[in-house]
Amino acid sequence: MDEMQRQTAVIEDAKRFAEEKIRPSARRFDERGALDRDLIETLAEKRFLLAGLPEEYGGLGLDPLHYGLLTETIGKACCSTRGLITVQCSLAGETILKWGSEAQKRHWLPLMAKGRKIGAFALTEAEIGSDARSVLTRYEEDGGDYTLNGRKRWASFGDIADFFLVFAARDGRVTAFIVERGMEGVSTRRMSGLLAARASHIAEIELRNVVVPRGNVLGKPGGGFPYVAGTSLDHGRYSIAWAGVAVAQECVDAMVRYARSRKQFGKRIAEFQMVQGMIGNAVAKTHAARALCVHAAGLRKTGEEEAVTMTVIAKYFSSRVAVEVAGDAVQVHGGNGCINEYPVERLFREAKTLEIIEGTSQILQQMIAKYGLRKYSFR
Amino acid sequence: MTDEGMIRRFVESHMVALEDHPGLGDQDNFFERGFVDSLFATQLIAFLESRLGIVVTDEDLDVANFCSIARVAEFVGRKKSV
Repeated sequence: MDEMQRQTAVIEDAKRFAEEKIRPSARRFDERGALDRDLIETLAEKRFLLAGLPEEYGGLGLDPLHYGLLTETIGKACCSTRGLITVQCSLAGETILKWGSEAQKRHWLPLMAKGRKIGAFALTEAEIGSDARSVLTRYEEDGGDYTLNGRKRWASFGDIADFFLVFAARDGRVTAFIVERGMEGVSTRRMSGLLAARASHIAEIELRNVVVPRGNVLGKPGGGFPYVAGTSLDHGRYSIAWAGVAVAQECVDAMVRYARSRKQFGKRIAEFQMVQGMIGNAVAKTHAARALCVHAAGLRKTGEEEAVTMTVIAKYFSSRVAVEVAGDAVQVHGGNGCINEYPVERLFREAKTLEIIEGTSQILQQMIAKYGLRKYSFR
Repeated sequence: MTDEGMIRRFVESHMVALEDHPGLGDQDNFFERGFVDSLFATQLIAFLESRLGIVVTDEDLDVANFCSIARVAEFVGRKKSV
């Protein structure tokens, strides 16, 4: 089996696994507000948790395209399960892989791959969202160690995480720290009342005089923003771009299935041209979103600097497509789209969050506009 | 083209600067001048690794290495001399 066949086989296995073990539980996870622990263990056994990382650290060594396809496959079945892979692999794993010391990589990554250590990304705060360089969480240097104080919010899987990538500031410099749950002064509080990602164990993290050893600095002091956080968000955006494709494709499948079976006025509603209009738009938009993701994957594989911008474009576009297609999927379902007996109700909620996390659509629009102003200029 | 020339061309191609901008000197901090956005840092690392053939590691993550054309060129020179 050559390398391409191996990676394709991983995706085929993931499809079977998602259909048999994840999709049937997606509604239950959403209602219960939690993933099953044994599902996390099985994801780890399959090495999906760090699928995009090298095999030497316990990953599957998937290239960007196949990692994206895995994200889509899992995300079609359950957004929160996909979210675990996004956080574990893209946000935490890739960041430690890039900016961790060799000792940090050898310690954390194999444990993460095995599911023995779950990570969470702790950048956002109650008052600080898009303006990430202005984090209010503070650190002081104290005899070679660091003391952290502050409160983070919206940390996916923060409620069950064993460690957190925490971004804190001092004198205008932002530093990234690996903060372990067992450190004195760390506490988490589960956030409730969420629109979506209800099984993503989203939490607030309080840091009260937490002493973090020098060896837990990720990168170097002052490198947290934009370098370390930039790496996290770049990989996170790539994953969310595919998550948008996943939601959109799942909505297309659902609206087609429903339109082919639902009868009104003595005809299948798929026969009505206005329903066909929504299906046609949804199919075209979903294919376009996937094409952008595939393009970004190719650039990421060869390490092109333009990959960063193309990832932004893919995430911006696919998350918008997810919202639009989910809205039409609910519309095709009529009243049945507004009740949790049908998955489009959940997908409609999940889609909206994709336009907010890892860069709001408006922040990404600014980035894309600046790219356009540079690239398509007077020259 | 020299490494420094390639770095300048890369930085200038990522600056949002309109026709009447005053230009960027070799020592100018491109972050403080506001010519680049937060994506630039990640793009710069990707450029250095893909085009100039160096690997930027955790040990290199001193912001002073990446703040101006001159400092980036010095950093690249040091990495290549090792």
